[in-house]
Amino acid sequence: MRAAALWRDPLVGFAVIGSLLFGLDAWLRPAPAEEIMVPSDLGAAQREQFIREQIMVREARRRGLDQGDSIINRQLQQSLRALIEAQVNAQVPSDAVLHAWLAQSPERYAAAERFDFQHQLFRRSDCGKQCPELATRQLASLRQGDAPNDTPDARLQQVDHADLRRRYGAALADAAVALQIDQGWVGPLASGLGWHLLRLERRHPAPPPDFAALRPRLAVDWLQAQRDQAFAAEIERLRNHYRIREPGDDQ
Amino acid sequence: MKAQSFIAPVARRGHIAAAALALLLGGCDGGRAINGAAPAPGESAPEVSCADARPGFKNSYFGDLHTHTSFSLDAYFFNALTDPRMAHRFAKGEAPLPLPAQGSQDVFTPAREIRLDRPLDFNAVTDHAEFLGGFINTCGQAQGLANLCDQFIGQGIRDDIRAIAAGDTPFQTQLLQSLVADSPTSLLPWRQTRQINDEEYSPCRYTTLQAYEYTSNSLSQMFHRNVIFRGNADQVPIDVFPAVGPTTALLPENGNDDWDLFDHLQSQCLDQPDCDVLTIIHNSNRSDGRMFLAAGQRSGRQVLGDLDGLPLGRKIDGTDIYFPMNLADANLRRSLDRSFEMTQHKGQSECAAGISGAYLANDEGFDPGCVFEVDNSVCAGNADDPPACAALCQGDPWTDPHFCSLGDPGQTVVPLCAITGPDGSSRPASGGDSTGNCRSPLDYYRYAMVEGQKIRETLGVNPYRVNVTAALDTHAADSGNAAEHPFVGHGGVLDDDPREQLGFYGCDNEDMGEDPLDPANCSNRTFVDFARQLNPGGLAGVWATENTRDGIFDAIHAGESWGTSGPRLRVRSVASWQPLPDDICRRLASGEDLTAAPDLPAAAIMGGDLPARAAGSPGPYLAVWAEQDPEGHPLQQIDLVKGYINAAGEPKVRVFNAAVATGAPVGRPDPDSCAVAVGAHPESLCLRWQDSDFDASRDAYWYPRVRELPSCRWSAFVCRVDRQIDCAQIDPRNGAFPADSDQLGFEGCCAITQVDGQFSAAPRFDTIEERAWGSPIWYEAAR
Repeated sequence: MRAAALWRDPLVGFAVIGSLLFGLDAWLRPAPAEEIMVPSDLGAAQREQFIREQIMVREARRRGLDQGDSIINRQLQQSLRALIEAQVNAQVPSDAVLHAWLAQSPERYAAAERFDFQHQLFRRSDCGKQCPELATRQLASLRQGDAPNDTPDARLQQVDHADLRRRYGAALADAAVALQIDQGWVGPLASGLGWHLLRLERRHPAPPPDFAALRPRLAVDWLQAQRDQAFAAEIERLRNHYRIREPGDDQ
Repeated sequence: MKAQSFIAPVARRGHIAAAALALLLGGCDGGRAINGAAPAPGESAPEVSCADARPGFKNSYFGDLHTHTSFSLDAYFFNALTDPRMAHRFAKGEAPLPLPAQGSQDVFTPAREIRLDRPLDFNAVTDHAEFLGGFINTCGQAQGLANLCDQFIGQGIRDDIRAIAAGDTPFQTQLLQSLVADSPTSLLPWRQTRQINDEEYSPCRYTTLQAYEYTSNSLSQMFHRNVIFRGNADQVPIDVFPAVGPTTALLPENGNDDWDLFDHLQSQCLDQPDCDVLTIIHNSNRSDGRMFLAAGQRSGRQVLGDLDGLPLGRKIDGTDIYFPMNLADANLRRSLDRSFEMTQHKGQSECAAGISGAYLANDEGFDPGCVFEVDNSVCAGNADDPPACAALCQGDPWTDPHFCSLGDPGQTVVPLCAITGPDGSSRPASGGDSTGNCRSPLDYYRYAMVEGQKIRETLGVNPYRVNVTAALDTHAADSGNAAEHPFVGHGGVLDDDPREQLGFYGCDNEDMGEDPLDPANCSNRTFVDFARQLNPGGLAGVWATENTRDGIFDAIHAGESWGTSGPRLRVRSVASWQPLPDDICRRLASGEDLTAAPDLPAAAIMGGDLPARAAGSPGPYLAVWAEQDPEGHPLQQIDLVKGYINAAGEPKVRVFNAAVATGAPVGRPDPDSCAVAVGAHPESLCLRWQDSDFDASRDAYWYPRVRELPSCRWSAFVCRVDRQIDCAQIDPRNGAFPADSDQLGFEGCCAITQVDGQFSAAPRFDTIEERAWGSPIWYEAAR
């Protein structure tokens, strides 16, 4: 192969130019100033690996290769967040702390309110388009004191919103739990199954929260909140170290 | 804090999931962090009587029994943001679930949130036992390690999407699993899982079940079971049982994988005080005939004994020498395999168009109800399809089932098996992919159950008998998220944008500059649409006395259970030798415990057995009641499927389609809005039926299939509601939308054909009939 052909080989060109650049770099570079402190407990191979890793990392940083690298940015953020949260992770909440946490948002841990209803369902498959009219007629007779039809679901005892939703869908469940006792029979209320008449008989207020049973969940939620809070506060504090500028802002 | 160093990197990763984990591990450190005054995890829960418990009645509850979180070796690389606690809180409707950015490959950065609009009543997080928690706990150990893992393992796993779609485990994953198989890496994550499950259990409101998945994938035969425990954290084995051993990668075999699992569960659970367990079979539709072996089929193996009427049983490890299945093992399998996941993300396993062998007794030779969510169909709309396909793939993409126009048949269409057997011995008659993947009738529930009845004639036990549930199999931790619209995908970054879900053009050498949009510069150009056959999966329903671990476990164990394709349909059935009373439909609907009803002596409820027939009784009387999802669509029909041994001693299945049906004409949904043609269709149906062709000397089963009115498949929502894709705009030169078009990437909305280099496209309109499958009622003849 002739020299000209060799030179046209991109690999050769790359090697030659590369060596020139490296040579230039070595010639221009100031004498070594940075120290690499090797830990004493490393074996020979590990020692060599450690030194090489340190050289590469520092050199890459010196050349700005870490700038704008999304993977490095993500890792740095994660590490900082972990550092901030680590101060919280060791905390062990006392019962008093968890009682206070519970008192702060009792609705989040509350058991459901339950209800007793009298109920009449006019199924689409039974009465089709006539259902609303039949239901309205039945409503009038119930309001005059007639006895409801005795079907298996004529009495809904101790049901909560979730039970009603599972059985009759969200629209009916929402309407049912909004009823008042003094309203008497109400309807027809539409659901996916047909039309309903309802009479709220009794409300069973939710029992007070059972602290012992809730404790594991309270602790999990409390610790998570502490972590989020510590993180948010630290970011807010650090924010003051920076001046935020938008493109177009005056100098 | 030394003990924390193992997991500290998890916390360093800084996600909420990691934070939750770190908390738990803090707990492990000295048992102080969160246990405090609380009952220790696993402490026996007090006897519960829930407010909705009604003596003499059962209630219906819905749940998911198959969810993967970042504790699973594959799911970690699809969505690393989750853990079992987040899956539970999502399922409870309490908290949103974070997802990576749509279309991104960055699995570590949360960019979206989804919420479950309707809470579940119960849930089982079933992370893979193999290398459980391995990646989330080790990849974050040192700064940068997560990224290295992601680059060298995660990227490989994700890039191998075709293999994943085909059910294969990439070799590097197998090797890694094998290397760590004997190390106790799963102990800690299993402990975390158990503790989270106990902490998130709210008796009467939300039941968590201790569970994992046993994932035998050797030789690309999916041989998977979910292992579900009854008890609390300290009542279950201290470690999971993986399907991978030190030699799996180099000497793959699966001949004893089921027996190894059953032996383990027998000795480590059933033989222990306070431990109870069941297994749920899933994805037999991808087992190549491995899950349910045929009676009398040697599969080219050496057999020690008489195989006549029996399937292969245990083998001598490391050899090809098998014993016929024996009675003790049949009973062992029967005592553990209690349920069957009828549908999930990777398709349904009831039946499939074109695959019924000699089993189907119907004159038509196929069941038109079997086109629903078929995964890896044998029908592709091609000339060499099995004959039964011709009636289904008629050439009009507007009405044909979606699988008739898949663009990459090599990946999405699988041939019929000529031979099936363990250790990867299944083979198609001809062609097929290099793995030998093929479909057998026994991959499907209805045929496997009747094959088991055939085996019972020889062995005295039907080893295959299981009842019915369904689940999601999500790998993004979104338990219960079975909605068609919006469908966020269940593979995390694998299938979270329309291009990935619907398909895209691919070349062999894209990294060398080939252009998928330029047919002239794209070797082996294919339309990669493996994900289009995936679906949002289903849910399990149970009739239980109350929503507690005992209540839910008992219902699944007894088979008073059903599976749905997502909507919360309810179904309940009963059978008796006596005519059923006039009010039977109303009583089924009420949840009345009919096995205790004085006027129904010897009645059998779904999942149960008809007793010996009283002298002079004709065939059994059946009643099936079904009700629509109160937040869903009306019903169309109830089908009844009967499996039986016929007079010639052959296992047969007969389908009574539309045994009871709506009286009004059924229409498709509106193609522009996807509004269902609700009309005057019923909210409930009730079938009263007597088997007039019954032979009391032979086994039989009957199970109901309930179908909703037609509605839009998720792909129709994407193509026709979220976007209005106009297939006429496809460029005839490359079969793609123009580069400046906002429809580019939605080619999978159209059925694209190519003749002489010219592409033409026709719109598809994918509709489905959402459905529920009830557990059968069984009759086992006196032997």
